[in-house]
Amino acid sequence: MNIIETHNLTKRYKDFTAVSHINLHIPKGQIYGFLGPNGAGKSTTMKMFLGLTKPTAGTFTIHQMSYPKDRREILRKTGAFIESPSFYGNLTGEENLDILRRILGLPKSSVKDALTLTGLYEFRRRPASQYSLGMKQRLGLAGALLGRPPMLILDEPTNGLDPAGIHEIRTLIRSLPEKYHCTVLVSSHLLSEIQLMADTVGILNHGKLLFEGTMPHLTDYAVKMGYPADNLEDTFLAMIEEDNLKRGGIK
Amino acid sequence: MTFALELKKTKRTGFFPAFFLGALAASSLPVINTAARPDSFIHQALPAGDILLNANWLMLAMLNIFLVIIGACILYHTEFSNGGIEKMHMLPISRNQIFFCKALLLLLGTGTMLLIESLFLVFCACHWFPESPGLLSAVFQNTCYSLLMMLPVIILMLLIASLCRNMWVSLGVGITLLFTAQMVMSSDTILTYFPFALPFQFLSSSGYSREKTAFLAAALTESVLFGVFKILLTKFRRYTL
Repeated sequence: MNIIETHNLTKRYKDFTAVSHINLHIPKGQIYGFLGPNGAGKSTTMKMFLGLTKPTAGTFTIHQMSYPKDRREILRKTGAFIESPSFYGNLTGEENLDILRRILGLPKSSVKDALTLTGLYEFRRRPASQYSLGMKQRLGLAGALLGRPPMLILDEPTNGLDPAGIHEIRTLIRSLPEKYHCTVLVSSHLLSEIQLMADTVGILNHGKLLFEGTMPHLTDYAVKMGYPADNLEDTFLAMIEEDNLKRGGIK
Repeated sequence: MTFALELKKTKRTGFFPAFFLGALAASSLPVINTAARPDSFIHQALPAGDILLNANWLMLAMLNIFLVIIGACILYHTEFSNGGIEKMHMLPISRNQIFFCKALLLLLGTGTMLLIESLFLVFCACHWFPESPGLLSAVFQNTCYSLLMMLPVIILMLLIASLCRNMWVSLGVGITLLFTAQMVMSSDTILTYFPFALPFQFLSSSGYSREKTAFLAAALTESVLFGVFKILLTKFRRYTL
């Protein structure tokens, strides 16, 4: 069963098409890696899922619900972290999460749970503006994980983290579907990260979906198309290069 | 619930201290003014409240508007500086609710400020004009009237602050509007109803004249219009509740 389905989802900004007729199928209880170079349309797609931007054409459903009718319910069930961590710098980490908790109507214990999960508990009383980049990133993640929502949308969640932090967050994300039965849509530039994390991947270039399927399917597809199939990075680069060439780009 | 959250967001922003200290600074004006030249005031054949308001209200109103501008900038700077508002947009909460709760917060700050100023005016009247019948009622009525006159400034200023990510832009726009108001407030045209010019009006002991009622109606109409504009803006710019 798919938790998110899109049907010819399109977003245009004047003469620029950010997302073009994509049909995504994000299976429930899995980690879906969303890949693509800068400006491929990953963040725009995620923003559409969160009601932050309106599709120009096409439709999508999340938990079989749609915008704007079910906005409240969709957002209640979706934890999100888009582009950069968003928080109130004048409030402590704990106060920031408490605001989110009250909006979501969650028990007080959920704040401690999210702080512990992201390793921020001992820094909970420090104003968020005094957090390091990595701690801000963790605070953003804690906000998304608050209340353990059934759907998580994470855009570049490991940005700004040191290698140990990246490993820790990756392990955490990897454990989420099994521990909390949630579905994770995660985008990253670090292809090795996605390779280690994702069950299914979607590859986007210039707003077009080039591939969607499980990791073994991607390997089969790469072999069939003559792309290098040793690791995701090589497959991804070959796929993007060929698509760019088809568009009239320079190799 | 949203109001409580908005109140919590003002923690460590200096929002309430700004209003409190600003109110004390503004309130000291009538005291200093009357103490410095009592003879200019105590021999006037007018009720005490009218004398004090005539002498000080322009300055008080200007400071009040300035504080509302600062208050609105603080409220939205808190949202924009670290992207807090972006997180709010991803949560099941109405954007309009956030805006109007901020307006209520600003109204609360303005009300507190006007109350402190009124207390100082009462002090001045009691000290320099011991025989001033009906003073309390006159001052109370003026406080309520002034608060209503401030309503369009509060909503318009918040609207501006909500549209400008950079606090200095909204501050600059606010100050420009304040100076514009000072230029147009005494004209005989429709410009006297300019939102930022309305708080310069005050209620004298003669009560509600036709002119004062017209100003009140203008303030309420403008407030509703700005509020509706905000709702429409939210509706057309993005998804809303």
